[in-house]
Amino acid sequence: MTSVHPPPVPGRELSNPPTDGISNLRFSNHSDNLLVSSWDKTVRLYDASANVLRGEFMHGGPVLDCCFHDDSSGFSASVDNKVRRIMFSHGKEEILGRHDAPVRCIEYSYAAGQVITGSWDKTLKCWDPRGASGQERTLVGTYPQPERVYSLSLVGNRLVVATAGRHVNVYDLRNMSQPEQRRESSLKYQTRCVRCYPNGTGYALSSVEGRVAMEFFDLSEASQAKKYAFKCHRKSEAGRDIVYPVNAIAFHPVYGTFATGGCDGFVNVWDGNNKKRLYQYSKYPTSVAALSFSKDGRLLAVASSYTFEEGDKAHEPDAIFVRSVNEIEVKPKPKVYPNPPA
Amino acid sequence: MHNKKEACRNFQRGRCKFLHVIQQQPKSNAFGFGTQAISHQQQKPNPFGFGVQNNAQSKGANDFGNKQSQFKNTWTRSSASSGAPSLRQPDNQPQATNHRCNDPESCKRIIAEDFEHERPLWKLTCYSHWKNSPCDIVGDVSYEELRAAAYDDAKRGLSLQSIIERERNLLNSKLVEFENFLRNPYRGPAGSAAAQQIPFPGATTTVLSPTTQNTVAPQSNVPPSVSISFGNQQPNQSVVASFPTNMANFSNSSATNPAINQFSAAAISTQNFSSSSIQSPAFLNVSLSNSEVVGREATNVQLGNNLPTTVASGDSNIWLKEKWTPGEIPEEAPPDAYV
Repeated sequence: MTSVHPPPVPGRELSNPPTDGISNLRFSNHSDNLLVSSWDKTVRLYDASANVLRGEFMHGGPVLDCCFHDDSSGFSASVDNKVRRIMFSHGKEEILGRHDAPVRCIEYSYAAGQVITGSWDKTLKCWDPRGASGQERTLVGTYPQPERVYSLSLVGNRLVVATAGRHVNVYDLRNMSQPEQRRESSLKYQTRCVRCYPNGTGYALSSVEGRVAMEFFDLSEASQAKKYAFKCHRKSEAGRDIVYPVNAIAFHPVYGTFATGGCDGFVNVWDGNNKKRLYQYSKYPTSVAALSFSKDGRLLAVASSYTFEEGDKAHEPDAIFVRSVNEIEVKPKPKVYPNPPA
Repeated sequence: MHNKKEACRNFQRGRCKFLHVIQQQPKSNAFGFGTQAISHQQQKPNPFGFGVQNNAQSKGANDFGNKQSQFKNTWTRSSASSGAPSLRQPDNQPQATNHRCNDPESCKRIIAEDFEHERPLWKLTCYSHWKNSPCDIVGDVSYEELRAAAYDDAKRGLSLQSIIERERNLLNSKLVEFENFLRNPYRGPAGSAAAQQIPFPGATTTVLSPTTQNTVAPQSNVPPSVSISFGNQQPNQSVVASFPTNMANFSNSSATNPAINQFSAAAISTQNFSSSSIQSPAFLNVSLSNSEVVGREATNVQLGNNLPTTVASGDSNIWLKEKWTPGEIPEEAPPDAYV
């Protein structure tokens, strides 16, 4: 059974992309502005619709993650251990605080009004961005994790943290003193990415073994019965599978379906409720490092950027593609139920 | 249902048009082959599985109903009736099973299968042979960490050659760790139980040799291209990379025996994990293959308010013993002092 082959249009390529690997990209919640963090030590702000670079902010080291606060400012997480606030219109950035090791992930919680960062120093930190700069004034709390933090995701008052060693912690932001739940990943290999469902009932977790697990927060039997995992981003060659890491998960803000991007260069769109793949976009030049849907789900930004899963090797140039999303690619299809007997 | 021991061959080749959803794995004895991922067992079109398109593959409405009830009849052993083809264990765990490796042979088979068919492209990973269980092989590195160390070392002027050397060593030691684990997944101290349950080298050579050959051959392509600039190649050598302590952890975990050995694992866990109250109890699960360890050790989800603060019933020196005879294996997780 083969997939429908779409016309080979990867989307519009953004001009002035970063000059080195892209670690993450995010659409704004307010506009089609796209924030991109890169190994070239910059964070770049684009107007994705107009294909214009609006700002470029230098950091002290490669930037591993970034997020918006609003359309005038954002935050960044860098390998130089620092957490920064970036003021787009002023064209400058300031240090909000620091970790003891590279900061791997950053999120802004609208519910809590706080910036949350996860680092390879095995801690989670919460920051109040309204405080004056300087760690003493802005740091709200430090929360030890079992291992280095690899990914985190927020929905409502819940925070999911995925670390090395396949640990997953679920927190309630209103009470960070200890995790609400401590879990191990239901996948067998290293976790790559975790993303909460927009409806707040659970999260999707992807690993390096070409699998995604769909999990639920509610620990009741009924809810846990719904959890499952599926294989994806694999290629069969000479009788065995080549198993690619799944680097990125992005949920469609309207339909609740989600896209996954892997080191095989493909982006797939899935309907988690009906357990179906809805679409597969044509192959990107190299590994898909990051994905983001725009606020209305009309655009999908794809970072086609080699992620070093095979060490240093020659690769296609790092690029950002912004494609228009068609409804058929992301809209769930209703189930076909048997007709009741006459 | 068939008592097939092999996975669906088409599925393994990625060409099966029916999608195999992997669900929770049933108890090992259920159908003789139950310990394998369920995906391998579904020979029929699975309307719940991920299809490439929509329901077209479910062969019509009637089949949908039939398959559904078929699932219920064949697989569901307890009350789960949500319609999703998931499997619940008869015990009342709210989460997936507490895997206890009651049948090391089948666990070994799982491991061999995993390594044979599903070795990920990324080698510096942790691994657990049972989902929701703690890692059997610890000390994973993400490619971002590798890359960050590479950039760091390059900035400090390390020669590319030495960088490549160190990374290759890291990769090889991790591969060796996987190989060792495949050969000796169980090194628990459960005395006579271990002896009878793990008929190691004899019975399993036939299993091992093809897998080792298969797994080694592809990897030989990897090291030359892996020119990663990484910190450590020897334990205790502290390189001023971004995360020296982590370097030491990686090297240590590869130098020691597979982490199943609960005492070395306990040592590693104190190094690696600052707050991992479920770590060592679960290692106990894995290594005590024939024990009666039940009760309050690691439920796979620990609620924040219910952290198991178990106390060894009776002699707390039990935790310090190297070898346990079956009768004296404690039924509870070790107190944190012994973790």
